[in-house]
Amino acid sequence: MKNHLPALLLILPLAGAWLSFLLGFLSHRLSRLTAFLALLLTFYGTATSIPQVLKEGPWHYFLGGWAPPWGIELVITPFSAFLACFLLLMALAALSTLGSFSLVAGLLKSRESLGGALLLAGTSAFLALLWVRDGFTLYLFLQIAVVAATGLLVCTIRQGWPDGFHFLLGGSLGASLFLAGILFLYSVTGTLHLDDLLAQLFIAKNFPMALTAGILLVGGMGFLFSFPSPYFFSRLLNLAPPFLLGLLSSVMVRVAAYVLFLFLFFVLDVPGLAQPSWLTGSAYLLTLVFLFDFFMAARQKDFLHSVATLSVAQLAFLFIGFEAGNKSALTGSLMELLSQMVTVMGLFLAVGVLSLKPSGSHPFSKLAGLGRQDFGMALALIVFAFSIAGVPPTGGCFGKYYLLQGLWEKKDWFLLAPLVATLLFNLWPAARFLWLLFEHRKTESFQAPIPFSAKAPMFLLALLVILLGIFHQNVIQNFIEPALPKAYQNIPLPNVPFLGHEVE
Amino acid sequence: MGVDLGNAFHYFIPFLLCLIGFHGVLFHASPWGKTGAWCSFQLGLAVFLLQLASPSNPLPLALAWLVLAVTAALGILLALFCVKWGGRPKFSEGGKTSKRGSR
Repeated sequence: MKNHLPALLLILPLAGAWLSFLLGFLSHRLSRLTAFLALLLTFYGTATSIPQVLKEGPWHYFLGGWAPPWGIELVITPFSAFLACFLLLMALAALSTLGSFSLVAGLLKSRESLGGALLLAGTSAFLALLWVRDGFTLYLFLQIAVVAATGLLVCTIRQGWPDGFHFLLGGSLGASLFLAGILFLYSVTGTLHLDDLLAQLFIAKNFPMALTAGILLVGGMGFLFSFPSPYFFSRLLNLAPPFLLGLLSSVMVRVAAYVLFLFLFFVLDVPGLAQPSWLTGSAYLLTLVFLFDFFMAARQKDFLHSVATLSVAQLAFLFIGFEAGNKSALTGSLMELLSQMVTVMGLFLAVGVLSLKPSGSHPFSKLAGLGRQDFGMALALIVFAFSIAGVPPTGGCFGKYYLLQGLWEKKDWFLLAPLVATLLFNLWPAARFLWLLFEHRKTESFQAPIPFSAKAPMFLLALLVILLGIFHQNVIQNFIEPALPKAYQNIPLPNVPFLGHEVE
Repeated sequence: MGVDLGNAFHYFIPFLLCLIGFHGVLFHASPWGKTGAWCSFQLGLAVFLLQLASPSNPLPLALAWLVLAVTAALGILLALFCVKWGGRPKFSEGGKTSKRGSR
């Protein structure tokens, strides 16, 4: 049984989704319990796989025993298992919030059960995106993730058909562009297996096709990377429950960023493939646009819109690491990926907990003096804000430190200067936010105390951000370093042509 | 970059279908048009795969069927959304969506 754990970890939430959906017709409590149980079991299974992958290295599992290109391979690495644990924690937090949201919003019980089932199906697709090593299967699971996310949105929004349509269409177009990139690579190499693509591309030496595929793959992620920017999703932001926006932007968007990392550094990083200057310039400009979102977030008057803009802006830190591409910068990017997943979810959960209505505006003025009435809640918010600003000892601080180190080592002043400027600027909104939370003014917003059960997921996530910072050395050594390209790992180089050795 | 123009001629039909689809999804005003455009994009990918298939390499053929199956499933889902939406935000002749509250 244990030998098939990688497959079981994908099947468990999917089977749980069906079971939860069917049980929803009998008892909504039973349906909810099944959904929780499926997620907890998947979490337990993923956590138990970590000691094995740490001891024996990546866990390769061939579905049905078929070899590529027909077979599908699942690979659990220490980092992807660790990231999966984070992902499952976010899903658990979202599922626990779904119940309280349905009470406040007056959601039908049948919709709540369906929502739980869709959340499980989405979780299975997100896990598959982390572990699958086959280009076409990645496309299929990306499409399943988009459909599950659309279903969740439609389930929780009244009259959400237009928003669901646009999300499904945008996500599907992104997935189609992603598939176009995969097929370009397939037409040149004849393989869809990610580990095989790099070797075949090196042999084929068809660099224009590799570059075009790279552009299509990045373009395919464009829709997800812009989610949930208030400039593109303003209606959805005002209607969708914040916990759901948090789940999608923390998990779906960050998992897409991880898939992009895999493609950029394990598939398209072909020796001899020089990036043209116009492409480098475009990538730098795009990163600057994302960095500029920090300034836009600081100008927002609405808490939810500010959090949404920050969620998009933080992607700049990941992209900076990808562009620098050296060991320190990539370490910083992966560290950021972990801390952002928690921070973004935590902030969106906070928006939901602090708002009296399930949807609508969430002005910052409502938060004035929160720290004097609910210190724990304010502290959790401060932890998230400080992680974004890069204040120690939060997890976000160390990610940014490694990014700065990477850019300094590369002497990339063009990215270093705006990054430093943004980090210095971010201290100002963080300080202003701290002041707002502890100022003397009292508002009518916090008449009723917030129940502990609603705040518990936020406290857990805030604690996780702190723990990530305190134990960053262990995280980097055990999980992040083995996830970097082989050239950056302290292992003997194999005798292959791409690493500067001659084939015997 | 040395781009092989022969490929552009050989794969002209899938390229055209994808281009029409991409343009349509971005610029078509009606949701039905957008759905059709997305299907066109997917169809372009399926045709591309069919052109890659050969008797010695049947994998692209299998993948083409999968792409068509995904297109059919999602196309129906998108059409369902269009029906449910029922033209709620009305589209004016200029192609702009009217405000929700102005119905």
